[in-house]
Amino acid sequence: MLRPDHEIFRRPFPVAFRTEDTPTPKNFKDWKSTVGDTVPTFRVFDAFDETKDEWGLVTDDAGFEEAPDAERILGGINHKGPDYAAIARHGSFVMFGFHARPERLTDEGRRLYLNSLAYAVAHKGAIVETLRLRPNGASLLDTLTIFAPRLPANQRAASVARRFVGEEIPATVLENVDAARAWFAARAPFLHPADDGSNWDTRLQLTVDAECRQLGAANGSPAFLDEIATRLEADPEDPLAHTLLARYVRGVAPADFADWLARNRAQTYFTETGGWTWRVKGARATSPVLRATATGTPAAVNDPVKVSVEATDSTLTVTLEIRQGWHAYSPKAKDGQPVRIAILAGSAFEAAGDADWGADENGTLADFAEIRLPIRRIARGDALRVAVSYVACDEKTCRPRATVTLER
Amino acid sequence: MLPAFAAVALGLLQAPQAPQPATADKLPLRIVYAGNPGTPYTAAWERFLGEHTEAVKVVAASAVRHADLEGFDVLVVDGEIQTRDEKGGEQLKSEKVPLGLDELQGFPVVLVGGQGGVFADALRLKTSWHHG
Repeated sequence: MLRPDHEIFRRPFPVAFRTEDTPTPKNFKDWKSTVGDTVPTFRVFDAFDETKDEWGLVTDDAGFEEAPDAERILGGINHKGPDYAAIARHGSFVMFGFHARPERLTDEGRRLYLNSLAYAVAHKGAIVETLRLRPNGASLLDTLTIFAPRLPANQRAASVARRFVGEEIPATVLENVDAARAWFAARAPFLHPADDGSNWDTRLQLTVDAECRQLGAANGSPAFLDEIATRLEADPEDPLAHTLLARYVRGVAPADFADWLARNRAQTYFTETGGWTWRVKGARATSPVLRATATGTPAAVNDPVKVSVEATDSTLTVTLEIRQGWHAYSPKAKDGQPVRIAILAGSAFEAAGDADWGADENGTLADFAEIRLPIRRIARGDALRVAVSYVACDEKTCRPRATVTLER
Repeated sequence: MLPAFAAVALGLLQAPQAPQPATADKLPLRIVYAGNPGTPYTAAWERFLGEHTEAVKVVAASAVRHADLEGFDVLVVDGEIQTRDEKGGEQLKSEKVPLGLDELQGFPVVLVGGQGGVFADALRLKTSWHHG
């Protein structure tokens, strides 16, 4: 992937690159059979030594084309596929995936690097609108048509099961790529994540949304919005419309939907990667990651526990990264002071059940301890303030209770 | 910890060529370079940015704060995340950058190589290792 007319190759320093025809890597052809026998390349760094040098980074196309806040600019020879980007932009963030010491830059590479700095400045104020949060439909299609076919026949079903749940995959789909494409095409309009993304075992799985299929319009199509509006006009209490509106047009009440649609129709877009939801251009992304605040009883310097918190609309996930030799306790422990999690006043969410502590039967939390608390929305907006307090112990002693407050 | 499916998300352009002489290309920009102070890699980029920009301030990626950006035009997040053991085996380390998305929305940031990808992961950006 190369966009030679892109301004990053022109401003402020013209990048006078001359492309070479490089034999297409085998993995590119595995990924996309239509790629030619050569790909145009130019050198960013003068050499690469696999035994000494650090690899760069490429990223896939998930989320780039569906939303107006990002662009892919330049690919690179890589171990993934031909559509992966080494230079890309998301809001005011510019990715320069190539990696080496600066004295290894070619003239073209040096100017491209400097232009990347300038390109980031040119996008000062550009907002990240959607994040890469959920699997998209293309990831399932890739599994069906690229990754699973490379596996022994007896491993393909399990590979697809990591990406899809809800019905048995016909044998022909696992054996024939054309059959797989047809199978996918029949379901693509109605795909939806199977869970809220808080469970590592199932977070990549998609499933068919039976209610969307019942509506008869693809969730990502404008017809979907029109069909919802039509149903609500006929019956303001239409249960199917209410359910699908809550799922795909979050934060818009049924009674407000007609006005919302009339006001925003030309500015709406559907994002799969950003959460399988309709959004309005120009709205900032809400990060699932909470940030630590200065309040609470801060953990001591060199504290053996690091706390991080993320939230979906239905699950608060607290991760304790506990240094080797140290531990904390869950409420399952007979002895020891347990970790406490509190959702603070001012939050748009409240606890909706008991936490899953995922701990050993004796209630000891060690290494990476992940605690999942069900939550539910009680107010508009995304405000969320959480206090996590814990007592960290080693074999001999326990430290005083520390409380970390995080918010978004 | 990096997800296993991201472990081979690697990119490069290839083929040896003689080093090219530097030119006088210079940007009127002030740079905060968040890397690994004290390493030859970061020192080399500090020299390079010193030659090609108006000013460069080097800070540890693990300790950079929003206040560090005051008076500067661009934040560069870079570093080395691959290490090799005595037998040449590769290992990955990730350095957490203590800045959040809300603090950086609209501020020019350049994310370089694997360390940039690690930070993009933390922010859930589309330039991340995830899905890569």
